Amino acid sequence: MSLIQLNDVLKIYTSKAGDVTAVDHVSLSIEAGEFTAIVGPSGCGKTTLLNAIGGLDRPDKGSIRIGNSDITGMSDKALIDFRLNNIGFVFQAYNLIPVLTAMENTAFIMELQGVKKTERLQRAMDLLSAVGIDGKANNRPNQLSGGQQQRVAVARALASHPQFILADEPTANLDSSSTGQLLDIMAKLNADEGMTFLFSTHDQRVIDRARRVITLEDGKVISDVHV
Amino acid sequence: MSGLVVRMAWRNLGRNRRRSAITGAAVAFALFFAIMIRSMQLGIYSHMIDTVVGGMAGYVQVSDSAYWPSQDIDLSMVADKDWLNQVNAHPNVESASPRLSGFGLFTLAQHSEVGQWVGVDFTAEGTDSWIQRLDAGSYDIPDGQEVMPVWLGRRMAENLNSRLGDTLIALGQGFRGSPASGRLILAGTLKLGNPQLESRVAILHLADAQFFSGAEGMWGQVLITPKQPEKSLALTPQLANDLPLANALWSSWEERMPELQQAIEADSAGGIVMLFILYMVIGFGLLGTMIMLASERQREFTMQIALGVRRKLLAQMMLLEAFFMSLLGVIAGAVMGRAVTFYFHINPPQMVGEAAEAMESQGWDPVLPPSMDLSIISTHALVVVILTMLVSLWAVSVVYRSPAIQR
Repeated sequence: MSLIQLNDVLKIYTSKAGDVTAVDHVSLSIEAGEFTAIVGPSGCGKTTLLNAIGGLDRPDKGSIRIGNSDITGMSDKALIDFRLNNIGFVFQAYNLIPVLTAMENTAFIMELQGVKKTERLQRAMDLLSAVGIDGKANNRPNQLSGGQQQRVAVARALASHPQFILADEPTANLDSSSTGQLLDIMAKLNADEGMTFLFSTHDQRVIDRARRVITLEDGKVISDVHV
Repeated sequence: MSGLVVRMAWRNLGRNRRRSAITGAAVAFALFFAIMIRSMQLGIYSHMIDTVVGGMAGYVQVSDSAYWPSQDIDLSMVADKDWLNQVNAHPNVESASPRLSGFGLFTLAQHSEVGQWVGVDFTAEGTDSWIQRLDAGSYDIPDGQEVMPVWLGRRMAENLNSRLGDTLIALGQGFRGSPASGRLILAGTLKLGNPQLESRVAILHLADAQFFSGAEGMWGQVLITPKQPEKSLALTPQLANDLPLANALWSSWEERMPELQQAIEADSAGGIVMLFILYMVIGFGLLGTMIMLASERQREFTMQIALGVRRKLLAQMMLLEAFFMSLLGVIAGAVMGRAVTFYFHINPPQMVGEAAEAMESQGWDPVLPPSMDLSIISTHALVVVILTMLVSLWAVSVVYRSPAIQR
């Protein structure tokens, strides 16, 4: 069984200027352990598709299954809990909580899951080590560079033992060096631990590292290439 | 509520320190002014009740059933010392003492004043309270002298242009047709905390008053001070039931002096309106802050909801943050309010000029002793906290309206 299964997903945004079909009858399967990039020009529906897979937005038609769960019919509260326990998110703007340290940001999700303090602190430190930022564990986000913040965001995304990680333009705000380091970390996690990554990206450096590239245009999948 | 929520709510206060400080200061000043306004108001009422009611009219009064409202000396009651002893022994009674009073003309040389003479049993009423009221002179004059000592309200003494040791002539109606007349020697003047009382009251020994008016063995009324004076209205029927006396009328000060009670209630209502306006102004200020704060955080709410944070938890965090902010303000406001009211309690402000005249014309002593009742602080602290929490519901509504994605 596929880890992520999209069947005929349709998403239309309504505005004064008229209806916009952001995702147009897309059907996809993502298997566990994939390192996949969704690419395409601006406005092609990459982020909308990622939001639908992450349960952040509901499709107007079609269904999305994550593992054994059909998330399209879930209530808002059930979706929040589902995201907490099954999906890791990495955002373009990092979105760390400014009043928490790197360690606390990483442990934040585990605290919501009810993981015991000693266990979550140990795992948070292990994850910060894994992303190479354990020396900044007690720094707050405003004391970290963009690349460092994004690495903490990756550690946070991994903290809940998710089934997969959704990363929306994760390198868009990073310089070349930080992008390379981040991609190395994610590729290593994918190779060593089998963590599934699904990116939306414009960044050729990310596309070059992906093992599967899905190209969207006007909300439709126009190519799906396994590298 | 998890430690995470408490930690984040507390730390959020430091994100925009200037705004937190200004908001806390707004809460602190709101509470400070509320405490000052209410303490002054309640202090003045308390002072007035203490002086007019506690000192002169009595919280609870027992008289012949026909005595009120004429206060005719002919309607005095026969002294019953056994019954008085029972009253003093009642567990809810602090003290009880008889009085006899009437009206007369007091003359000194070319000056005359109409006043109310009141016979007082100084021993039964406690000499301490009378010593506190002494403005000049002393009480060290033996009872039953040929010339009776009198203590005049200080304004009445001024109006008569009298000095200590002067002999006054008093003339009035005594008991059942006998004349109430005699020579009185001015032994002292009294500050009674009420301008009207000070302009018309002349105090005599009870025995002298009985002799002076030909009402030996009679009491006009018995004044009772309950152990909880603020409950006198409710306590009066209970005491009447427990301490029956034939043909007696029991009345609390609220029943005998409705105009005083109404004046206090009317003035108090005015103060509450002022406080309401103050709270409205502060409330809208806090609402503006909360709208700005919630607007700034909306992206963060969205991100946290996306990560799996329940809206309930975010709402708790916003409420707690508002609570912390108001708590800091409340502590500062309460400390300031308590310190200033304590200072004015020790050094009560004395009104002067037209303000003083206006107060005196209403029968109020132009002095502003603030109340030190801690319930004023706790009540208004609670109001301020509730106001802040109500205003913070705006942020809660933003949390519940936030989608899981930014569009």
